[in-house]
Amino acid sequence: MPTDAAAYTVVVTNTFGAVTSSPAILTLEAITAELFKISSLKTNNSLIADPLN
Amino acid sequence: MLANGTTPVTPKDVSGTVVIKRFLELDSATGVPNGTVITLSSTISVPGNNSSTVGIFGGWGRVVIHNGTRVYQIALPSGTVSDLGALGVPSRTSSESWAYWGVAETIGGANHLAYVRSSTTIARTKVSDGTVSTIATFANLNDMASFTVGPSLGRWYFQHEGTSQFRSGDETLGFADATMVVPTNPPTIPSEPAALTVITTEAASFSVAVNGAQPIAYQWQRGGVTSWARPV
Repeated sequence: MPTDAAAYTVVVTNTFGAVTSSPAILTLEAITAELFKISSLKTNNSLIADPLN
Repeated sequence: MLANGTTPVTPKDVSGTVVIKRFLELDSATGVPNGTVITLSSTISVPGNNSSTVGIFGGWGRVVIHNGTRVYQIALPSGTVSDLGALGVPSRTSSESWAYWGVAETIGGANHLAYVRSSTTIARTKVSDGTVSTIATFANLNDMASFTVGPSLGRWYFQHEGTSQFRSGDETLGFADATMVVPTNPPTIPSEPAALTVITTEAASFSVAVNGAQPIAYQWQRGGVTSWARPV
């Protein structure tokens, strides 16, 4: 999700203190080349069935 | 199959609003839920009863639901929901079964919903501007309300009740030849997983950004050995 894009860090803590990691950038890029399109629908090769009767 | 719990939901039997939370995968041979549950990242509300406004569309790596006012995409298998925008109910053949079923297309980055528009026309409507274009015309589809496509076999599948150009008699299921343009771009990784150092027993999480045709499979490995497979 777009809100997931951010700089992520981790803070590691124990009894004796804490340390913060350097940030890791999460980048989400949109899929721009995706294509799924019906080019044609034909009427040949129809297989018929009668499921309810 | 739609669900709001661990059992299927039948929206036509529900008065008021139906909240969809999960998909239940069905066995392709028996039609019985096979135990695979996909939880949606956010719920989708649709009208119940015989609302006649709900459309469900199969797409490439996704399912798209139109609740009559807005269009939502559910990416598969992650279940990530995204709002594709507003859209009114298009003129179409009436369904007797709560919703009508069609195909979700992506053309040049824009989402389209393909459906049976009349007894002679299968058309697509663009999200969100409502632009309608004809995909194919026929002599007589009768009251065919729903159709879908199967890219692997190059077919379209349909069902209608009365007498059409395909067959005389009640309740016909059938298929015929279809041609589709399907995504072919291979996956790329524009953003590699970042190195991470944590103290033993602390949780660590890696992420990766990808481009490419859906559906995309993920297989994380630890030391060259497969650890788990799911999108992150």
